[in-house]
Amino acid sequence: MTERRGSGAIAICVALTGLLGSSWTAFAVPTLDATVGLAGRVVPGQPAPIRVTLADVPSGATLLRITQDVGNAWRGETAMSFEMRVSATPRGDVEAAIPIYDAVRPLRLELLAVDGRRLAEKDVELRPRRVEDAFQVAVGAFSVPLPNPAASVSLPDLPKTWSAYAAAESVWIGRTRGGLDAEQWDAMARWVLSGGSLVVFAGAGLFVLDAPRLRDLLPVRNPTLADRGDDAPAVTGDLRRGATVLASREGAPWLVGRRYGGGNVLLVTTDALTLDADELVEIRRHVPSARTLSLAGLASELLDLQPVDRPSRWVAALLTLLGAVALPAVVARLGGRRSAAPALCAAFAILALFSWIYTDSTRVGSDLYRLDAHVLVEGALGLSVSSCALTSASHQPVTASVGVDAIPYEPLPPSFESRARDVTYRDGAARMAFAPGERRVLVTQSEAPVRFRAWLAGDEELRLTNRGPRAIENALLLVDGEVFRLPPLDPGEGTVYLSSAASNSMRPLGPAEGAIDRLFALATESFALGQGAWLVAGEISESRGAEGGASAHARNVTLYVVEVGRD
Amino acid sequence: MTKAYAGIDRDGWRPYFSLVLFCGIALVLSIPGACVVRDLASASFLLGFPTFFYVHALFMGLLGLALGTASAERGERGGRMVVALGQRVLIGQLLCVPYFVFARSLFPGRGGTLALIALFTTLVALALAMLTRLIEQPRPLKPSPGFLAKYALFVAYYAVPLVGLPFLSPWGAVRILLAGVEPREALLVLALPIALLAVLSPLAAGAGGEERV
Repeated sequence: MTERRGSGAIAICVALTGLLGSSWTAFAVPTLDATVGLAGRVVPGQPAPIRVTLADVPSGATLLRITQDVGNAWRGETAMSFEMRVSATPRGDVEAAIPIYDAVRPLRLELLAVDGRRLAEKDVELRPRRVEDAFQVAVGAFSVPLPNPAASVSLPDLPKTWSAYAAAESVWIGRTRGGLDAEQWDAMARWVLSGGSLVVFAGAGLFVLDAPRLRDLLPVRNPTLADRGDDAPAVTGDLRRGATVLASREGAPWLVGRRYGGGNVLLVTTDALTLDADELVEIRRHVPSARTLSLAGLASELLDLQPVDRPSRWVAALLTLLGAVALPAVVARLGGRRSAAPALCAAFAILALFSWIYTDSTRVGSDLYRLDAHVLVEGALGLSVSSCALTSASHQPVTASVGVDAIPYEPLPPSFESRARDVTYRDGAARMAFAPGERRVLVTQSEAPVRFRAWLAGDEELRLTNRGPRAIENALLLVDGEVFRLPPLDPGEGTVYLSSAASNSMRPLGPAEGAIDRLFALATESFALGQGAWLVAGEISESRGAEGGASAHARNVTLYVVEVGRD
Repeated sequence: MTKAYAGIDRDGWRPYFSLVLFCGIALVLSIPGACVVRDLASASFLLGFPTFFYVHALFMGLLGLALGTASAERGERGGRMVVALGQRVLIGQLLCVPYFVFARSLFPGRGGTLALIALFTTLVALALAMLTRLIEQPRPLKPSPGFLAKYALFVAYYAVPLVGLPFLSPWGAVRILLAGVEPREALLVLALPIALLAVLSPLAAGAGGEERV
């Protein structure tokens, strides 16, 4: 009997403990923790990775707000805030790349409930993490430490967003105990495609790292480990087209490089743990610094050339003239009669109708003029470097929600009016205010789906796939500096037979206004399009609509830079 | 002799002509000269400035003064005078409809604001017509003693409130309406001309003078 009572009490205690345990999360205080920066470092003006770890998040929490207070009393003060939705799980990480402004004041993180209530908050100091210039990033172990200002990143801390590598001058992957996951490799590959520099040490460690994306990046095909008789086995393989042996050891390639999109991949065929200081110096000589394509200045220049929607002054003058003639004419003929007023009304109704027909949508002014410049770089993966320049043509302050493809960065002027430059980003839209005549520029870097596949078969046949919804009129094929003008690239698959009449002139690509060509010139410089095989296509589109309460006339200039495969 | 209560006649068309001409010129000046966005920054101070609406508010007021004076000269009185003045002010407003339709392209998405401005200026013109009818006495072919008084009041109404209470001035009110207002604020802006009209109309209708037909 006593035993039964005892076991019953234990069962009740266990059940109560279980109940309390399961409902504990409902009462627990949510917490958040964050790591900011690539290897804990941030470079002002560049995106930086942020990983926020959430714990005990109640089901009501939906929003993570990250706020940076920027500027000072002399320069002007503003707040840039980025909001991200948080899935209602008790525990989880939120990862993103956020632009870092002056890195003087702390980053403020807030976890918000549906009703806007603040559930948790944390300040992250940026000042100790601040560095002025891009730096080398080392992943894994090396026999010789990389010289300062190199920074070491552990494998799990490698970003999964390509723009988070913006502060890296080059990334060196040495001997690791594990591999990168697919998202990390994709982010790395996109960063190289955009102009980054990756150095991979092979040797025995290569196969720990091995992944399909790594094989796509490497300058050799079918890498195999060759024992050279010493303790340092080296990787060998078939050199890809365009790959160059930069240095050899004992007659075998030791340092092999290749272009990958706008960037470079270097393979050191031996293990990072066999490296000596002289070899490190030699490798460094061959590693170019990562290049960043910025369209901010160009977008602003192209915005200057965008036509203004307005009716003609001459038509307004004609309307005035007709009114000024019609009035005395009707009065002279019918003045004083009862029919004078209806006749006047009829005459001016005709003029009103004329006004209505004339002022169609193409002649209606806009509160905002917007120019979006995109360079879409495509290889095995796609990425987008964009800039959006906006100017207010309204004589009143205008607030707009500007659609952007990622968390934007706004280059700030040396001084500005306090609070006037606030940006709030949420769900693909940046909310911002414009004073009359004010201009603002946003810069974004994001992933993009691959639209084109191009393959050069032999010397005269280009196989193309356009996954887009429409044809692109302006396209060129660049093969080792030779330029072939292509017919319109229709949606679907197709084959283009190249004209034997190649030209050495890169231009013109687009229509006479030159917007596409200016983008092309910038991309040519940044991606060294004179080398290798590239498909370059450009298009311009116009749209008119509302940007969250303000009418806007947007012009979209897009340049596709597609790496062409070759037999 | 001018016929009383007539809508528009050969003697009374000039104020309408001024309205049509000057509003038209203001409309031309309101159109930005810029062909491309770069020019928006370097264009004249009139760029983007709603010149048309300010000039329209001014000339509707002047039309009200002229109509009130004409009504006094014709010896119009009573409720019929109020209706006739209302009709004449409406004719003036109708003559500006082509301009308003045109101005819609300069202020996209603000059709409601333009309608409010039209209503406001109509009320202002009518109130000023009533005021002038009260001040001016029917003394045809002689200079009216109320001439100075009516223009002094006109200037006071348009200019003086701009210093401290802009919404009391028609120009200030137009600026407020163009800035975009809540319905309650719009009612506040319209309240003054409505109040003036409510007070002045019965007084003007009962004002002295020999009625002529």
